[in-house]
Amino acid sequence: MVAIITTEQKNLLVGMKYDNFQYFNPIQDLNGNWVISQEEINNCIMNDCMWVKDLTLSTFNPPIYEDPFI
Amino acid sequence: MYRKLIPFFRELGGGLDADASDFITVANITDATQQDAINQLVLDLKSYSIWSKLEAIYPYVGGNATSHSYNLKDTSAFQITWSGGVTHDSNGITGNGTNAYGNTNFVDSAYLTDFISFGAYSRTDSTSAVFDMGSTNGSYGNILGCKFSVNGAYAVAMDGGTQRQVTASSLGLFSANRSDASNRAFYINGTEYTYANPSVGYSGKNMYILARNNNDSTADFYSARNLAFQFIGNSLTTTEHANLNTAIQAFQTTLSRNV
Repeated sequence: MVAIITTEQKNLLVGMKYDNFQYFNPIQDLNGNWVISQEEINNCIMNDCMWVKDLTLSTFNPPIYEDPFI
Repeated sequence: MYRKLIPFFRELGGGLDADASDFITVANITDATQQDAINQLVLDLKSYSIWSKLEAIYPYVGGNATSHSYNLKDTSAFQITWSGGVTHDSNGITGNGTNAYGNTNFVDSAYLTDFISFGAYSRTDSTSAVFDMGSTNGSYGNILGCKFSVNGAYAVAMDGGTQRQVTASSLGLFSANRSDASNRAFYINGTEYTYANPSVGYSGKNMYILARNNNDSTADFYSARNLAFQFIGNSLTTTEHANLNTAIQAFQTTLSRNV
């Protein structure tokens, strides 16, 4: 599960830790939406990003990576 | 015999290998079983003459992101930076298949002198088009997928091709090795599968784990596997790969997380 975020929210999270040691890693899904993972939300303990707890979770639509072996 | 004496020596303030002791202190490993496992692993790798050939060893002991970030070979080098939703527990690290990865901050071209070896100990049996570690500069690099497709495991080592090896599962130690400009090999639980393929060169990029570093532009092919050990180093011989598998299996058995 993931939560879709806006580009502005993505820009806020890039380079920010969600706990004392691990960083947010927003990525784009198949439709170009920025998303963060349920694990990042659940483990977020930093005051500056507690707003992610209010995000709505949805099923992840993974991007299609180019087959590296063709 | 030696394992039984370790707690006794520890109480006397000695007995631990100096490198093991440094890791145990820096990574804050407080559990006696885990301390013993680390110490024995270091002793085994040194007795097999593997220790000096490896540059990064991640035993994933301690159950948290900080402990799991440290390099057993040198706690001051190649500390992992974690991003995305990596899960850390007593079984090691687990990706989420979405955005979780670790940056080892290890660049092959900067630190290796004798080609390359690298590998991962997987505790998850799955067939999935993901990479458990890797770096590419867009043309060539180093990549490992413990079971990328139904056709088997995939490995790339200092080239742009691929070695596919049929495997029944993605459980255990999967390692790639390049021993010279012409040959590379796949090792699955210590068994060797050779493959002639010309080397192009080092990727020059940071090695990622639980994903592939795609030319420093992004991580991709995120893995959801549970990994309990990873390493990067110079080329190892066939015997050394077999001995490495023996040492890691003993290590995982001591920690009750062997597969």
